[in-house]
Amino acid sequence: MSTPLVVEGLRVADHAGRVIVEDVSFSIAAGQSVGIVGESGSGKTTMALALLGWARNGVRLVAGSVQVSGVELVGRPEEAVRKARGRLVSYVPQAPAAALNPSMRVGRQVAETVVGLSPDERAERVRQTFELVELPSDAEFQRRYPHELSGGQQQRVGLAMALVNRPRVLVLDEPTTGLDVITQEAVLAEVDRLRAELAIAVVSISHDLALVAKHTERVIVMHNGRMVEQGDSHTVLANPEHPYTRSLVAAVVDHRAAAESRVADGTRPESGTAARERPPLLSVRDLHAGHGTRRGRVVAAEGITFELRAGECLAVVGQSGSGKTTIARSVVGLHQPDRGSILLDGAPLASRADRRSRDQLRRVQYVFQDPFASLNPRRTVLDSVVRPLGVFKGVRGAEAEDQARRLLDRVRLRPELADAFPGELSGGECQRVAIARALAAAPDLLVCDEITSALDVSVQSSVLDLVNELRRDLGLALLFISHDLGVVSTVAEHVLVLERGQCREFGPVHDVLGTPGHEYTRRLVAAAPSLSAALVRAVPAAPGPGAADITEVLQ
Amino acid sequence: MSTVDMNTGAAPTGGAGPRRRGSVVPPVSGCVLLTLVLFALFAPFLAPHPANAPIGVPYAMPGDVGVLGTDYLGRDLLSRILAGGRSLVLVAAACTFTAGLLGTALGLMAGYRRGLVDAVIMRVVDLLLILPPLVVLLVLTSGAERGPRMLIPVIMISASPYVARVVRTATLDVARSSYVEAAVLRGEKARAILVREILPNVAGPVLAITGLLMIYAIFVVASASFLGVGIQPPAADWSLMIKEGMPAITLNAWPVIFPAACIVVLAVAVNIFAEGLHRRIAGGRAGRRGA
Amino acid sequence: MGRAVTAFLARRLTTSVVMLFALSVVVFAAIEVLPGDAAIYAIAGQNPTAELLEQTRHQLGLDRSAPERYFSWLLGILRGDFGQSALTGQSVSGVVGDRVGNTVALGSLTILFMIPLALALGVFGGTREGRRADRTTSALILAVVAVPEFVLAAALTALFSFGLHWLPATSLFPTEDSPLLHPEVLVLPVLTLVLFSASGASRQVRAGVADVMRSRYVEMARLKGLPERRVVLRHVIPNSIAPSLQILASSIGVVTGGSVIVETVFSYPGLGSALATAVTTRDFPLVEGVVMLLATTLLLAYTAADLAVLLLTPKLRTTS
Repeated sequence: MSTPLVVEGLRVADHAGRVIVEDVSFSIAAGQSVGIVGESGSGKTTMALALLGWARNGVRLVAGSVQVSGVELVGRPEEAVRKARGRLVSYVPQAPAAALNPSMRVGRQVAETVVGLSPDERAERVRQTFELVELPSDAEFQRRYPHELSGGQQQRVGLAMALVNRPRVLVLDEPTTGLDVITQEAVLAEVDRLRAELAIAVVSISHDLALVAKHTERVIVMHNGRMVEQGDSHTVLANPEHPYTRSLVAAVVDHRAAAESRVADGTRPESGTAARERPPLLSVRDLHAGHGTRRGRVVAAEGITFELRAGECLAVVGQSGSGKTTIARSVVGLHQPDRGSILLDGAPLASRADRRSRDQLRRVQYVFQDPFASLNPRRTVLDSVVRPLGVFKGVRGAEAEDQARRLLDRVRLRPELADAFPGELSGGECQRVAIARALAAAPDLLVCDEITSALDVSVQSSVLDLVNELRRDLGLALLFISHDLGVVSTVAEHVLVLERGQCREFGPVHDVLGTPGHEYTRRLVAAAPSLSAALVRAVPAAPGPGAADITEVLQ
Repeated sequence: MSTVDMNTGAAPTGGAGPRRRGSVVPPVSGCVLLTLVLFALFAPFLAPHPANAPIGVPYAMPGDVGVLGTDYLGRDLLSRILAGGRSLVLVAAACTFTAGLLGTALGLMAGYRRGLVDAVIMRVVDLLLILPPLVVLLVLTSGAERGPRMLIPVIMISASPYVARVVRTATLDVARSSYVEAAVLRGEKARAILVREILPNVAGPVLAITGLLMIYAIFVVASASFLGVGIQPPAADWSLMIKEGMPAITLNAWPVIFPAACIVVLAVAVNIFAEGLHRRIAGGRAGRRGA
Repeated sequence: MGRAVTAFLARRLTTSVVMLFALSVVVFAAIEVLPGDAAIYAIAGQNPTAELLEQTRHQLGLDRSAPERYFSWLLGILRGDFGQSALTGQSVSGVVGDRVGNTVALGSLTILFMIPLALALGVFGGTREGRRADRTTSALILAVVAVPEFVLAAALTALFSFGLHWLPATSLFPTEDSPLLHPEVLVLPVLTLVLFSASGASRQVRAGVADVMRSRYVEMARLKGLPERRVVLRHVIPNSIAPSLQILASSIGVVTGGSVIVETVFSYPGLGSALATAVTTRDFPLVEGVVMLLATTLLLAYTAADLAVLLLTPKLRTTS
């Protein structure tokens, strides 16, 4: 049998001639799994699509070759390429909800992909495939519409669609980004099993090094559309050679590694004893909150109680929908809780921001999740930081601009960006401005709502460093909302684990994440991707057929 | 009547391909439009004859009497054509301006205040949207005095709901954004938030809907005059000229054809300009975010 | 599913009744309360005697207070009595009865041709967005859509009646006949309305189709290796049909508004021309009657269209 996938000298460019993917070559053997990692803008989705001979509007496969089982997909007539898609090579998209036809029953969406079988055989094949991806295969389930499925089920339907013709190559484009960690782990384990069972070559596009380390045998690192490094996953990620790979690996925040090192060197013990004596800066007592929807009330917080002292950092972790953002918004006064009290230095805070005093507003600052949406697109960066200086401190004119520039410098924003508009900034830069804007108020408490979830790994780690530094230098207290255990373990001393509005566990970070007491925390920790764990667990395989392929192609 | 689709606000979106083309269209069509408007305003001074004085037999064919012939009263068609765009353009511009202003104000209030203010404004808007705009116009003019001055408030009332709806949707969107919440958390006053944070960010949709409003205004002013509730005879006006020429159209169609051609040119120019404007704004936004 | 539909209908019909009631207040106020004495002078002449003035005032009911007049009018409507034409003394229901059939004939013929034309043009352009064929048709459609109906009607008449002598310039036929017995009088009015409404609707259908064409699930359908024909038939059209229906429903409003103009241009004896005449002669009871009838019809049409959307969109249908 011919090699399932051989890519040689692939180059993709847009119509303006800008090159998106340049000189990519690799090949994969049957049953092998390759991860392609890179940050946003590295051209990895363009490349994933190119593996099916497909280019989006405005983009063109310029040169090179993609051969699936010996069939060339680049530069051939559309009709010939189309016949290979879905049969020899198939694709599982990033957002399953958007990639399923909303008005077609899922059974039919899978069935219409099948080629060349009688109606009876086709029904049987669809049923088998649903079972293969561990979905219910009965007629009732097949008659459902995509919106009647959970996110994990939608992704499994995407998998079923990709597998129903038993292709030789499966391309997964960030297949689990929209899913919570527990579902993510289940879906990826599924892919691993199917790969072995059906001897499919799998290409996984991902930004998550931990997932790549755990689920792939080989890795290709992309940067600005080029391959900068490739090889055995564990070797590359454990001992990266290229500087870019090294920086990527160094930027990974890992809850296991962090927890272990902290236990080992015993840093930050102050949060234990002396600190407990101080009165709390923020205390939240028996907080109940929810959202009214057409279908009734959705609970977001149920009897949440915690305290936070000056200079401390408390993380609230949970999956999407667990209510963590609602708690943060209640604290700052953007969400009205149903009951419970929030006290700042012992004084109760009004539930709505517009009923709080200027000083109360000043002392509690909020940093939003989406860095692009948190700055007014029609105001310059400097303007955005000057405004709170005027509002909270009455500083105006040249003095205010001076202070604003110093704040921007404090968050390490290049000075020439002061007069830029947010649209000209990257996500990380926007988030720095948002932090500077919060600091302008000289707050006591910073509420950070998933402030790194929209950022690339390397940017994330620099923003986290900044946050840690500001805490240390300014003695800020932090309420840190996140779904990412790795992030949490690098910034927080205490953690509150939230599930469906209820507090499952509360305590020092290394205790809770190191030795989880509650069943839910255990599942969360087990499913959370960890690069160090993945590298330790897997024994690097001896150079297999994969490595041989690489050398072969490269020569 | 309202194929001028202000219903969605988002009229036909441009293609992904013709983006480069789209950036040329607004300046070019803008120049064409400006020329047309200046022509409509100042052409009356070029007229060879007074617009309301008979110069020969009625229904003279082009070239027989005058350059373009005469109308049913024997008035010079060319002079009337040159004079006949002014009131249409002026009234339509005034309508665009007033309806745009009122609609924007209502939309901003409804979208930002929400609650009761929103409910009241939007119910009135819904009510006005049940009937086709021209029927609303007829209802509002049936009791009132007639003439171009009356058209302005009437069109302001009948057109502002479309603007209000679009602006409200945009405002709701912007009001939910984090930078507005950040302003709320600074304890800023509602007025400051509306002016500083929201207004600059709904300017795009407002501009786009203003383009559609221009189309709509020309459309309605012309139709109203044709129906007899707009510009009144003996004024020289393209719509009135069509109305006056229709009974004898089988005899001599030129008194109808010339003013009809004028309205077509003006309407098409406005349409192209508005669509270019819309596309540019939509394209600009998408491009900015992608960068 | 049955429950969702019943609930929807109950909700919509209730709001429709409330809207109609509110509209009756607005219409009455706009027509009879706001204006001054324009109506009286319109009927009594420019320099009436005091006696004639008083008589006209009484005839129009203006000697009673506005709320009093409103409620007697409303009660009349509820009993099916829309009052009498101020000009001819004929009952409003009589005038409407004579003409409604003609307008329905005009409107339904228009819609019969408009819907397939709008859908065909919209799908044609939407599936070829940005290509030469799409740009050409879009430009042609833009030229038609930009032009007011009466100008379009005038142009068509100039061509077919003056230039080619094929068709009559006015739609005159014996009052007792149905216009369907005289197809030649229908051609130009229907053609005008179809061109006008279809061009507007097709632009929106095109935008909807183009949107779906850019969706991730259509890309996915192609990545599954489906032939383009199947992609369009199974993935693009079913998902653009529901929004298109709403567009087509709103073009019933467009046709209604257009019929006022077109019937006037061609002197076609329908409700639209009756309304236009009633407005110019300030025949208030007739204006009010026709307007309320139009509003009722349109609300029913919009409800029907939204119901169809509900039935055709699985997501709406299955989550009540």
